[in-house]
Amino acid sequence: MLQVTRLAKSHQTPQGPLPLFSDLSFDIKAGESVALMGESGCGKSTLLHILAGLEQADKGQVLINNQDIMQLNDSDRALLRRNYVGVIFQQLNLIPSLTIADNLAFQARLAGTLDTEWLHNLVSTLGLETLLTRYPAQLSGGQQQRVAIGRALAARTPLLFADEPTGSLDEANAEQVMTLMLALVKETKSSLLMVTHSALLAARLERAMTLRQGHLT
Amino acid sequence: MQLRLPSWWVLHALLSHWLRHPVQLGTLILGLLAATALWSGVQALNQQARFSYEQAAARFNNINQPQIVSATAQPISELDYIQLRRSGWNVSPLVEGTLSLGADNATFSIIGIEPMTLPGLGEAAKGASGLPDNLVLHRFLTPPWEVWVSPATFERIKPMLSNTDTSGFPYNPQGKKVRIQVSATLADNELITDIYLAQYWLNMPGQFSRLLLERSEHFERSEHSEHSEHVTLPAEPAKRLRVILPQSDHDISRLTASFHLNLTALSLLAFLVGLLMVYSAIHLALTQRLALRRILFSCGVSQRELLAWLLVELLLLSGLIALPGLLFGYWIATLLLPDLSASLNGLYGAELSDKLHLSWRWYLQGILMAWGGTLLAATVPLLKLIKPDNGYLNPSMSSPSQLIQRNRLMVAGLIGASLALLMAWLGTSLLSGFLLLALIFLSAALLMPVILDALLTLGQRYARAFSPDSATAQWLWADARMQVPHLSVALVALLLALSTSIGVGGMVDGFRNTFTGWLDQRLAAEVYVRVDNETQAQQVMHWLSQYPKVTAILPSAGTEIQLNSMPVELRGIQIHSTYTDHWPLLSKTPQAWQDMASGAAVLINEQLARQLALNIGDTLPLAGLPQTDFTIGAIFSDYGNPKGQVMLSLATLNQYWPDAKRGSFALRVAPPDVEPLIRALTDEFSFTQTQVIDQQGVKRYSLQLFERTFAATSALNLLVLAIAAIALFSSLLTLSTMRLSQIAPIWACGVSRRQLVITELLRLLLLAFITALLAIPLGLIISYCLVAVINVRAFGWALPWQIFPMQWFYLTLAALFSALLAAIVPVLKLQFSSPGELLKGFRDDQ
Repeated sequence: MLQVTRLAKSHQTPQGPLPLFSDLSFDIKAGESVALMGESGCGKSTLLHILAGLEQADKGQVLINNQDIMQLNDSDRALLRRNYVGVIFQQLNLIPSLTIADNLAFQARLAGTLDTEWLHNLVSTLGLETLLTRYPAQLSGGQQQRVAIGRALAARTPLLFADEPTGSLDEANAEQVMTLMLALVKETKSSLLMVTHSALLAARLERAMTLRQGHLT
Repeated sequence: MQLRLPSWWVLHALLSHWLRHPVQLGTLILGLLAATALWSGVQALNQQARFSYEQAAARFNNINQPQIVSATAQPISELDYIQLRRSGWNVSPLVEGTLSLGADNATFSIIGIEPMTLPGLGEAAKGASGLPDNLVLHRFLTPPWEVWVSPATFERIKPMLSNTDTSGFPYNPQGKKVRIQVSATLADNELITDIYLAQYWLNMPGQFSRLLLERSEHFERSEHSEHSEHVTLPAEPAKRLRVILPQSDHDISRLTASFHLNLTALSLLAFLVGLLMVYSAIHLALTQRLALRRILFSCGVSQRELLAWLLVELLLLSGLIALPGLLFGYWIATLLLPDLSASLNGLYGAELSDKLHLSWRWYLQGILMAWGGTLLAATVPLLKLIKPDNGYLNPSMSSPSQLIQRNRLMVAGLIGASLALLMAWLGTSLLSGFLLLALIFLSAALLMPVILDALLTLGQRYARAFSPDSATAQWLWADARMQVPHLSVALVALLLALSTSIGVGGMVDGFRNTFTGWLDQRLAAEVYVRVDNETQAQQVMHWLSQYPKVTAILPSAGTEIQLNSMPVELRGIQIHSTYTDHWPLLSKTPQAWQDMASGAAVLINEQLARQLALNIGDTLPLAGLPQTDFTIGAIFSDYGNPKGQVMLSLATLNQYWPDAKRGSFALRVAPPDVEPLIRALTDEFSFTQTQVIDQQGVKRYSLQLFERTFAATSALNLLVLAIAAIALFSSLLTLSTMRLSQIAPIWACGVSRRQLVITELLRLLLLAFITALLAIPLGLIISYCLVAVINVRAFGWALPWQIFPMQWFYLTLAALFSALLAAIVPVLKLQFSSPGELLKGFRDDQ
């Protein structure tokens, strides 16, 4: 589903380029769930952003559904994202001007793949029935993250990237959200790459990779 | 509120915010600069006008005082003057005329005075009479004599002082050069000198132009009116002289008060639009400093101390910005002064000096306005800072606190609208007319965000109904709704600017249409001739009767009377089809012209009809005598005339007012014969260009005057629109960084930046378009108030209300163009922002 070959990225600093990673290669199979771990500042989020087509790498190849996103322009990358990739961030995932119902359906509508029955199922599973007419600012952090997961899954994209999706939640909420997300990912048979600091969470996924000093182990 | 020295660091922390947010600082500077500049610019013009009026009123040759003039074509003789003085009359002679000097024949008024006899004058009273304080009488009265001029006139006559021809200025009869003295208290283009020297240069030996008369026992109350008085001259001089009593219509400052009030009102509007920008900048700056507020509180700064330092910060910034604002104001006044001067001169005969004289009050007033305006703009944000609520922290029309705020706005707006209706119904003064306009603007400003939100909600519903699967369409409407609280101040500024443009533009264009048609009706004759005196009138009449190509000679005569303490001009005309077929009548009785010809009826202008609440068929007692009670046969429109006017047949005028001056002739002649007739008249009587004038020339002059009168209005109008566009631009620019957290999720979901840019543009154009649509009805209401309320109360005449849809179309385009311009920088910022910057949207909310 996802093939990464010799991927390199460095940050520009006043002292010159600072390499984050220089020769990363790996792949994720369809339906596989993988944890990406590493110390703060090692480049985990940047790698996830590159894979999701949100940021450009310096060199290398990222194949999603056999398309090299490195060769695509901004519009084509956006199109690829809407059809193949769901992204969940640590916070501020939602569109503040839209109701929860519209937020949930947003990406699916963009991709033209809105399945009302599946959406109802998601709403019910995520316990969002009473929140549909509210706005993001009227929800708690845990509720917002549940909506973000719902939105990413509503489009049934084959790839799901999650950047510390429970990082801003308390332990109880984090556990609840994570359980729901993993169950739903399994149901949609999507591939999942999740950035996390938690070894416990990583253990719940099929595979774990650690980014250390620019290399994956 | 106590400010301790160590807490200077609080001010330092507060001020550091502006350095980190230069765009906000720019908005604050621009808003306050524009507000101060426009306000103080117009105030400079008003102050300049007041200065000129006071200067004119204080002059010894001010016509607003009793005087004796010649009743014949000849100047007043020295013998008559001596006889009056010997009979105990306190009169002072004056010689006036025009000197053409230099190679370009530049003209200057020369006034010769006899300072020892000036009414109420002693050496100590010079300043009060308009004579310079530093004038030394014996130097003024003795050879080689002195000529006093204003600084500007001195610059003009400087090259002529080297003139070697000793037969005229600047040489006295003895061939010696006179002393030139300069005083800033004198009017421009005037030379003041001793009467002997003026008589010499004007070739008027032993003759005077008029005699100034001091109020004395010779003044008696009139039998006919308790408000008027009369003076009876001794029998012998009375054969050749007549007395002119003060006419209140020459009180220029009273006449022009409405004109200046209009200008002030427009500048106040510009000031308020500028303040909306200031409010926007302060509001955002305070919102962004909520975190700083928490830190300062935690560091031991009290709420009162913080409030005090915030006030110090605002006063410091606004004081600093007000200074360049005053400079800009001065510059604006300099630009507008020539047009204002021309229109005041044309409309009221008021002379304005072409150089600005500003007192310290103007500077102080400008700074106080800047401070006051800033504090006004900061009141609500400061109160919210002290008691922040959720709505303030996260503004959106949909949150519960915002719904409460929306309801409050709606209630306040409706109260404002109700008060406006009440004001329209009960108000009668000009001030209440301006209050009505202010209430309309206020309620429109309060209701606008509510109406905008309602319309966008409607749009969102339609988008959902017609394209339920279009996520971007729904987002466009929903996001536009969410932007309303952030952009409402800028959009209100745009609404006010657009509606003012529609209102003022509609009034001016409507006036232009009416005025042009009115001129065609009013100026039906082909040639107009103005004569100097009765002798010349007879000579002209005789000459014209011999000129075969003139098909009709229509003399007119006039005099002025007081009616209910108001100056009214009586104009006698010879009734002719030129008048009966064309004269612009607003209403008339069936036999108006016939009754006028028989002496039973008169025609009155609209101003007089409104002042005295008269209508056709009413009786007008003109001289207090039973035989001078006339029926009002018709009311005619008389744009631009500040006075009441009564038109009656020439025979009637001559019967009851035999001393009425025959001053002008309207001549009917075939168009090809106009030019030869004017040439022949000029050759025969040495008329100047202003004495004999063709119909086209009068129309041209009138239309020029019209355009110059509204030049200042149009310029201010344009500036208000420009400020509104800048307000929109600065709001968008300031919001652009905050927008990242709102846009980033959309981008992450697969909407390209190009699409985002297009949607951002569309959204703003949508908001500007709705604002322009809302501005049209508001502009029409304002236009109606201007023509039907303000104009009537300010000038005494009404205009037909006209609408100009093409003007709305152009203004809507202007609004869209302004929005497009305002959006360019924020949109380019979005287009070219790096992915890293967009990803910041997921990390914090700026």
